[in-house]
Amino acid sequence: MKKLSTKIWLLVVSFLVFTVLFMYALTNFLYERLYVQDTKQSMIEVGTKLTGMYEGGKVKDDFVEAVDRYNMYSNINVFAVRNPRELSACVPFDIEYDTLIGPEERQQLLQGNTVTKQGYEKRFDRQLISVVVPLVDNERLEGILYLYFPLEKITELASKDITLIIIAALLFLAFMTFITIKGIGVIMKPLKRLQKASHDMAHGDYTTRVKVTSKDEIGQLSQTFNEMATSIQKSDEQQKEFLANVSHELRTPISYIKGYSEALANGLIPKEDCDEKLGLIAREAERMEKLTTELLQLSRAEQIEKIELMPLVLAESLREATALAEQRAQVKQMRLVVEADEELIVEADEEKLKQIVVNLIENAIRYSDAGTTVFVSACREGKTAKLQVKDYGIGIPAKDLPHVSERFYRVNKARSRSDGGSGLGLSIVDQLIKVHHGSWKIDSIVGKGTTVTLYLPLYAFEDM
Amino acid sequence: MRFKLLGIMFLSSLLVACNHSAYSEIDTQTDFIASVNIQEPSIDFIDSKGKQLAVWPLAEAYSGATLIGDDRILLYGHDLEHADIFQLSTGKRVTEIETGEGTTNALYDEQTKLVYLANSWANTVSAYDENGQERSTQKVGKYPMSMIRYNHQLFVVNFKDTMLSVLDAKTLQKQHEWKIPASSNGLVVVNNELWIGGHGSGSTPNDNVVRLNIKTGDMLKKVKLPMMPIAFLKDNNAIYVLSHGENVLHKLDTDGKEISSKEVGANPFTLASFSGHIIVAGYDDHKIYWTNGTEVERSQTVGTGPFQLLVREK
Repeated sequence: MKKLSTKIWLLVVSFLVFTVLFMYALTNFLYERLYVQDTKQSMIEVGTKLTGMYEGGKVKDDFVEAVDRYNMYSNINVFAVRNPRELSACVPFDIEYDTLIGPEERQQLLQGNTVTKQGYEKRFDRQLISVVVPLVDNERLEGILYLYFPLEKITELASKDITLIIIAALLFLAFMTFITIKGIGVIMKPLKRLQKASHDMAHGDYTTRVKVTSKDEIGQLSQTFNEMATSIQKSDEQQKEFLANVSHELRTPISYIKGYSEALANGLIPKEDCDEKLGLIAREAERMEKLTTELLQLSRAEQIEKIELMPLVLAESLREATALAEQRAQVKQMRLVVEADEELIVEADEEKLKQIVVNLIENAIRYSDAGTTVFVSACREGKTAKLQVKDYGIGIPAKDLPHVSERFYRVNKARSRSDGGSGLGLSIVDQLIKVHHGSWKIDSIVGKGTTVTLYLPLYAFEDM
Repeated sequence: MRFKLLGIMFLSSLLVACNHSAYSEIDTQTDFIASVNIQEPSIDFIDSKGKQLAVWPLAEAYSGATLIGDDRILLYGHDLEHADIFQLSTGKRVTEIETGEGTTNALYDEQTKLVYLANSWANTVSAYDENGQERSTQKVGKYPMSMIRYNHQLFVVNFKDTMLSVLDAKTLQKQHEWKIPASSNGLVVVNNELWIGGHGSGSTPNDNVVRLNIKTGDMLKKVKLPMMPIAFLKDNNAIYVLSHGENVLHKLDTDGKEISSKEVGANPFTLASFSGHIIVAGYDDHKIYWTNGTEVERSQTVGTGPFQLLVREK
């Protein structure tokens, strides 16, 4: 496989060769078209004027002499012929003589037509343009005027300097080739850098970047490559962090379960504490189950590309979701208040929509003090339904807000195990809202509370 | 339908191929002069009043013809492998002679009742009877063409050679070979002399008529007749010579002295005596000229390239 630079080089050189050949052909064509045609025309004119001196009858000596005189001063060669042998007069007989004009030309001339010829003439041993003008009287071909001009091909014209021309053409081609190779080298340099960077990246070096030196297509490509490299690097880091988080989250309950179950098996735990420890093991196992369930949900939410959207009465869905979280609220003696516009109909998947709302309400309950209220509201805003879950809990510091939807991100890592959350709830919400073509935002003030606002597209009725 | 059409086309092509009989009939009692035209092969038959009796548009590339007796005509072609004999009174082909390519001239002799055909490929002269049966063949010089029978001898001019072949008119036995100029053409016998014309060689046109002793072949004095005298006619003690290079009809006495000369036609190659007129054919202007031997009386257009004149006069 040839390199790109070689291909471009070959293309440019072929263009150059083609151009040289084309120019040669064009010059030849123009020479034929203009020079030859022009010469032919002027010879016909001269011949026709000279025939004006012919008075009819036999071609006389003074006419031949007059033509010869003209010939001496003219750049066109002309002579009069009256020898019937040269005029193919004996044609029905097989005479072994190469006449000046042939039988077909004789027929043309007998009709008074001028004959023009171009090409090699044996008689003159060279390429000629010749014009034959008839001297016809009483249907007799008494003679002809033969005008000719040596026709030199361009190659003939240049034959003396042909070596020089060939050397000059070759030198020109060599020089142009050199310039092309250098030029291609300069153009190809950023591409080579890109190729090296891609190679490094393919071998796992995500920190590699390309120096952007131009704003052309290659410059833009380098820029895009750098952005791609940043994204891949970030994604790789997130992947690593996610794996670290998952193993960390799972290791804690496993070490609890492992420690207490071994202690129980070895009889190290007093009998009266056994129930409590078993309860502890069960709680940690439940936490592990919840964690794995949520991981599964997140994985599924990420894989969802298309969901079954259908028109849903938003207020109804909100009430159903609130009912699911009611028990948890009662445990913390909290109140759930739903205020929803009954006419709002959104385009959503029922199960997924409930999961979004339940996740948000659970988060609100989890990070609020006992006895407070969580408000769930829904109203119309333009072509979307605006859904808010508002609590009066501990709030989230402003610096943490952009990261809350990241997997396992915790505002306060110390409380991770005590609040019962897995750190995946908002990640799941984020994924599910994306597949519903909606958007969301989070506003919070530390110590005052948090408001999560969702925007879901309203169902578009056909008559609307 | 398609096959029917093809069948009809095939049948009509067969009919055309066999259609040598399509020529007009020529009344046996009418005198005529026939102009054999070779640029677009045809024959014009013209009576003594100048009225055109018939035109035969020839189907093949014939380049010459000769009359055999009163009612037959033999047509030959230099590029044809055969010669055809037609009956004038019916216009139908009588027979065909396998000549091979290269026939340059044909001569029918009333006395021997033989047709002599000269062939430039084989360089032979062959004799055939009136039914086209070959009687004898004789190898001669290069490119035999002009022929004349005098007494018991056949004189053959070899166009691309420098000798004349003298053959026995009946057996074609070779009797003599006499030296003549190259490109000689045209023969006439005048008072025991054989007069021979010619084109000349290379770029030089011939200006002379060569006179040979008809018994010995000795070269006698020449007659200067520019340019290219190539056709002869003996009529009432006058000798008519046609110089095609200058389009001139010369009238000479039997000593070769010029009585008159007249410019006639364009590039004339042939002349004949018919109905008291001397008739000349112009190859380039496609006309025949009726003259009294010194002056042109009238002209009439014939087919393109009249090259031979044949006369039937009873």
